[in-house]
Amino acid sequence: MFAVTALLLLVSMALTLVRALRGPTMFDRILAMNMFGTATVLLISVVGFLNTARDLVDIAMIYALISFATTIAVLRFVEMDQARRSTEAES
Amino acid sequence: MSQAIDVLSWILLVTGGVASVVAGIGALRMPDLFSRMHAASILDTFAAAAVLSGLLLQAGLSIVAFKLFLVFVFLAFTTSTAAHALAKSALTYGQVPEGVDPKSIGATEEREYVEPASELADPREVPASKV
Repeated sequence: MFAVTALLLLVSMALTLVRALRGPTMFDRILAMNMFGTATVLLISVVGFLNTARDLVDIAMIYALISFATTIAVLRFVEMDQARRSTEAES
Repeated sequence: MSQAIDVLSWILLVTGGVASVVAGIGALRMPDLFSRMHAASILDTFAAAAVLSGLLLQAGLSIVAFKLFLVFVFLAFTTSTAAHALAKSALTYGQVPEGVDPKSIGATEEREYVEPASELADPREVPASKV
């Protein structure tokens, strides 16, 4: 059953990657990246149980926090970039 | 008894997997950014809760169960914060939900989203100065 769940999560991650590659705006890509991070957290936990290496849950825990920090950092970067562009357009 | 717990956890695991695929399909096929965020939140809440509680039933009463609970708490806090930040900056920089009058949410033309152009040059193209 762990294998089935891992497979379904991998399918979902593939669909998410298609959105990230196709996404018309930067925000779609960030959204897809965020989803990919969440799916990765779940996948790491499931694979840990699949291989009876249950300590992998620790890594999933750290990954959840890191992927959150990444999303916020990229969003802040995009915001600053957009603000700079709009002031350049005014001047 | 343990058989019943196994069956319940399998049901939860497969439900979570199916929910994650549904979220992926939604993120791929929904028409605009905000409805895609709605699809993404299925993965962040329902799929995460189902998969993690399925694993929780397999783990039994142990330190692993507590860690799984911690993973769920982290996800619950971080994904909602990230979704809020994403929606806020998307609204600020010119993304308008479908079927909404741009004027009614204060979207102005000078804050329209600018797709970053070729500032980062295509690495396959060699600049003329270096030929």
